[in-house]
Amino acid sequence: MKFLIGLFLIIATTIHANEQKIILSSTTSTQNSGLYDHILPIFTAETGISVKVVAVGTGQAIRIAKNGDADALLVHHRPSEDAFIEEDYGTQRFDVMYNDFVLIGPKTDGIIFNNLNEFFNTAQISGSLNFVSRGDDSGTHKKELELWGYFNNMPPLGKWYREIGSGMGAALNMASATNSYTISDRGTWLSFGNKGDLVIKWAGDSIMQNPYGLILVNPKKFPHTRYKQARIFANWITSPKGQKIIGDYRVDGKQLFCPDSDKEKNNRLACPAQ
Amino acid sequence: MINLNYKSVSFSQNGTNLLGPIDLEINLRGITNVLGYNGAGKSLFLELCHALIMPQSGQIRWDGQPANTTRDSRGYIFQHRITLRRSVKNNIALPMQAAGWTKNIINKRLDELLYMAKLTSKANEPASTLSGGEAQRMALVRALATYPKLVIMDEPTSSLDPNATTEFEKLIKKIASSGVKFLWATHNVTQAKQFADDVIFIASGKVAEYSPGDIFFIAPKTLIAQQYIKGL
Repeated sequence: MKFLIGLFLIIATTIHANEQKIILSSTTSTQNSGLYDHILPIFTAETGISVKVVAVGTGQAIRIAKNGDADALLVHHRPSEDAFIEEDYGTQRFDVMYNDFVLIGPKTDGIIFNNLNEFFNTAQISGSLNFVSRGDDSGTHKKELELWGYFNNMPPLGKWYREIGSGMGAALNMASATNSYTISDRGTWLSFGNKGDLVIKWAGDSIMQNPYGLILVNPKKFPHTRYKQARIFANWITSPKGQKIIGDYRVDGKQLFCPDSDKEKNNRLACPAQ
Repeated sequence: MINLNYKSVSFSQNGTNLLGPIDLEINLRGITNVLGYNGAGKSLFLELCHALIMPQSGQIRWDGQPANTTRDSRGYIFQHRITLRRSVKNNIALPMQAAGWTKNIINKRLDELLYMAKLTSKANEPASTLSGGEAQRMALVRALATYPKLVIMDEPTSSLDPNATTEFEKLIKKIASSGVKFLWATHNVTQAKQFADDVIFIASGKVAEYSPGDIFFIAPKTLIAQQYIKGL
């Protein structure tokens, strides 16, 4: 996989100089949701700039950008994003959109939780609720670890907790096959085709919000990057039109992402209204 | 007419001033050609007009509204061909789909646009199989799909052969006669003489001259424009 990503980056860098093209280092959740297939052709038709998406976990996406192998970064882990800017790798962060994380689990176990705290305490103490963790340094993995720390003040330990070192689709497949719990972003969950017995067990707390930020890679650090084109992408995706297209995107009639660039118009508690 | 207002607009990159300051208020009628030497700032001027990029200082307004809030009222054609990986008709349909039009309305409009661009017989072919001229005609009718009042074009014929250029120019004449306005950068003086109702001449990142086409080509006011017209 790393070889393929490396090969792609070499090819992408080779064609960089002559074309109106940017490389967007991004999280798998946005790619898997189908959002890019929906919005990027419209962006290209309107601006003449095509976008090559390198979809990996947030941690890897940030490392790619830190190597100067991307022009912009679209990820979902605010502390890492802020650090990226503080370390001078990025010039500016834009709020683009958000959805939320959801706790997924088997419907057939019949357990109803009264709050998230109850789930995390029960899982840790009883050891009887199997949990699949992505374990891949992605934004979702980072969020999951943040939740364990927040509710239990300690990392999860035990045979019931499995780290698979893979993407969201693989984690959901594993949870489906083993009647386990997992944390997923809502977009991937809605577009996931193999739900089996899995259902949303808990959603809606403010701590489960999942904001996505776009950061432009600093051209002073990496002069070969296409800052102007990346800036056009940022302008477009945060414009009223770009935001409307994001908000209009549906899978099976359900909204996956909520526009987030206009703080005056948006009310995070009201979206997504699933 | 469409009012364009550049108010104290400047654009710089990495500390270098590339355009401006520009103060310009004009009413676009018919076809306005943007002329100037390579590197003068023509593309930048057009990109700012369409709010593809935003100026570091100043404001650009169209009919009194900020340029970045009125993008849907304009189309934009690029020098390089923009063909998306889908059929010709699906390329043209994209802005209508993005605008949320119904299938019936999209199909009716598609028929008109395909006919206008002489691409009806190629509607279902992959856009990647089109020639350069066909691809630019497709891009032009795609930009027109949602009835913009103005089309901005950045040297759209610079990579076309003479026949393809003639076909493209015929299409522009036809569209312009329907009332759509054009803001069109070209490096081809002969082409501009044929089409320009007005000319914006840009030199060293500033608007050196704005004149009606018939006056500009006969009696340009600035020395640099005189030299440009003579091909010096």
